[in-house]
Amino acid sequence: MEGKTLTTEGAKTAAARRSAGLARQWARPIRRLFRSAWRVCGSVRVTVVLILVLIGLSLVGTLLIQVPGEVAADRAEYAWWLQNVVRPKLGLFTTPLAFLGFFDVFHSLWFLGAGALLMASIMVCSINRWKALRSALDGSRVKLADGFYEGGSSRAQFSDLAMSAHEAEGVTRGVLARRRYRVRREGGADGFWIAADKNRHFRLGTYLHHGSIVLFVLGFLVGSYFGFRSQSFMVPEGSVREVGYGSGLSLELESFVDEYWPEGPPKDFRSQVILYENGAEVKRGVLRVNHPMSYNGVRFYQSFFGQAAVLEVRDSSGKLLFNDGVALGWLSGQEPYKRPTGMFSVPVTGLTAYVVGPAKGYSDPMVQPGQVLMEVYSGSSKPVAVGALQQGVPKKMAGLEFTFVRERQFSGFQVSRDPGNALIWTASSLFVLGVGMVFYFPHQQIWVRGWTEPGKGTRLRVRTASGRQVATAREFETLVEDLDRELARAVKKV
Amino acid sequence: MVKMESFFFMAALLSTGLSVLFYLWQVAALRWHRAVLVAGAASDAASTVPAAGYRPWGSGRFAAMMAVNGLLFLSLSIIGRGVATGHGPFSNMYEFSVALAWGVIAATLYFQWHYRTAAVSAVAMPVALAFLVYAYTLPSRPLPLVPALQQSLLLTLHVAVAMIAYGVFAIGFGSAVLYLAQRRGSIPWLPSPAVLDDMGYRSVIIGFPFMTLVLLLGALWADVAWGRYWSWDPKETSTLVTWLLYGGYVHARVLRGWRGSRSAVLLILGFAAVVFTYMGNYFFSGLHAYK
Ligand code: HEM
Repeated sequence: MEGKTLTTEGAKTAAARRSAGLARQWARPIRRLFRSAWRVCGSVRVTVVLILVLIGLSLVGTLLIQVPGEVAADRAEYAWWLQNVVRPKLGLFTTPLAFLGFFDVFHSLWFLGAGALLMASIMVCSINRWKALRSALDGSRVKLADGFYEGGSSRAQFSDLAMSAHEAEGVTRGVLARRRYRVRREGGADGFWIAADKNRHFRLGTYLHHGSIVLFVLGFLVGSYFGFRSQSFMVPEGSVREVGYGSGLSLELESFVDEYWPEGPPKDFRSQVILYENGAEVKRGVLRVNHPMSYNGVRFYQSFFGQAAVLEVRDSSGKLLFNDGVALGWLSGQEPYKRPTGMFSVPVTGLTAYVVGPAKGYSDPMVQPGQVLMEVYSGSSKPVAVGALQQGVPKKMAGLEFTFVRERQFSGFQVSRDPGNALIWTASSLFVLGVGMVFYFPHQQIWVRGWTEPGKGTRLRVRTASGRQVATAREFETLVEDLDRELARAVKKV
Repeated sequence: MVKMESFFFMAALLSTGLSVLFYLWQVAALRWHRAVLVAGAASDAASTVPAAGYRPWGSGRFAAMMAVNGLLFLSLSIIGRGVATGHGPFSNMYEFSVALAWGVIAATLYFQWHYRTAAVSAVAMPVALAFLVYAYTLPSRPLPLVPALQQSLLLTLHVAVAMIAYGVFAIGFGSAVLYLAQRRGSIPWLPSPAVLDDMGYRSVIIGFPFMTLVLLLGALWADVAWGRYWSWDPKETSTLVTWLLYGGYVHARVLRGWRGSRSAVLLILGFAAVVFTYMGNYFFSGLHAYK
């Protein structure tokens, strides 16, 4: 086949002939490889192993400390995290576990590889099953060898019925039809054969839920490659911040309120916000936990909050360089003095300033309440100036004048755009639908063989499919009861 | 209202405790009874006659009545509390344990009625009792809801389907344990291995779709509250593992024809995963440190 397509192109040069030969030489091993890959993917045993591997990895990811997303994105930060957070706990195990990628299991090669293979395996299994499913939908053969009617996970027999095979067939078909079976029959001099089934179309549910698993993964991938997610988008009260990621959006926080129950736990966090697109206001409203705000597929979630400081910086001539809120959104320092810390760059000067607030819950020897500590850097890791700022009192540092104007709050949001979301919820619905179909509407198959035994009356054999299924046994029991009653009634009439 | 509720809870605890006692009593009586019959059979063939007409478990009526009582009182306690707090039983471990016990008792009664045997009930009811006793040791005072939990509809549905799924899986666990004891059919006063195997399978057929809903409603809530339907948080992951175990059970059965002991072991593992997930808060808290 491959050879033919190549020669018909009329290529007669030696090079073309050689490549044709090569293709022929390679075609067979490639086909063989493909066939064994297909066989491996279609094997239930391999699938079970894959699922067990995924379960094992998930357990590792659950029980072992995992690196936070923001840290994993940065090599240096990851190394720092390993050294300072993990090593004190796990010691010698740290290096081999890190080598295996076990601190970020859900993004490791193992996990992604096993996941990808599982997807392939679902697809291959589904394709392989199609033939069997097709014939189940078409219905099995009606007329089968006599021995067949003695098998099945459930079966019944009626003998010595005082009626003709034809009459018995009528009764049987009536009972089956009333129970909404599709009935197919064949008849002849030596009796009749019936193959009946119901709920056959619900078997297609397997394609819905297996297909939806592939859709889940697709949705997950689309989301992570074409969307974005910022876990810590912080806006101080009275400030505007750009969302970034090419969205052209920025968010202004007018005010933030945190409310508490009399017993102590938090009751409500709400942010009064205005959303701008390319500088023009497009939306305004209140953002609360469980009440996100959405614009053009970008969603804003109330996530956390904290202390912010409004700062002013002037140059030596008194010109205002900076006047904005700074969110003190991380913690720095050693236990127990974990201090809320923020950062901003001073325009024009190329300087970077860190702002440190007093530690919560302790009387902090370094930063008093009502103060912030400023550390000003200019490129190197040593600060060029350090000093505590009293609220409202300007202070000269690094040739500039810094003022801590007042304390405010900041609100932290999660911002995300997830184009895979629709896929995920579609997949979920299909999955539930598919599982519901297969579990609650099982395919029921019944075969009946009836014939008249000379001098003895009519005999019926009834059986189900093999492979014991709870629902089949129960359905069969009531079917046989119905049949028994109707046959008895018919006998009386005769 | 809170006083009424704690009265109902105590009544439920007592009824369930009595029910367990009756079930165990029943087991002891049956064992003894059979032993006498079998011993008698050796010397006097006539004494085996009552065995044919003897209906094991036929007289487990007290135990079942007490279980019904327990279910009623628990329902009243959950409803009373729901009216008082304005939300379903999801705000703390106490409420969730009570809900789980409700699920187990309801499933026990359903299966006992359906299969006409109380054998599995004798294993499942102690599980329900364990949840209730555990709840008894916990602070029961309803706490006001923190903002993330103020999503009453989704969370109530989430817990309601979990109640059913986990309750039914407890039956799967009970039948699997009995199956392993009875796999050669050597215990005359227990249901046949085939029936026990069937009960286990049926528990998964009923429970698995509900378990699927538990996962999906949880993901939906996470999406609404945090903008993230899945974050590989330990509780989520262990729920997923539980779900996969039961999924594995279904496949092993349908595709590989697993029956009997092997599938019984899967059912026991599955229920162990349920308990692990439910107790997860205790195992995982120390590992959440870096946030
Ligand atoms: C991981 C999530 C999965 C779930 C929840 C799931 C669920 C199910 C369920 C409930 C059934 C029962 C169908 C029936 O009774 O006819 C089933 C059948 C089946 N599953 Fe899966 N499945 C999953 C993954 C897979 C994978 C990875 C494969 C690929 C090897 C697979 C292959 C099959 C096959 C071939 C059947 C029989 C279909 C038939 O009888 O027509 N499943 N699955």
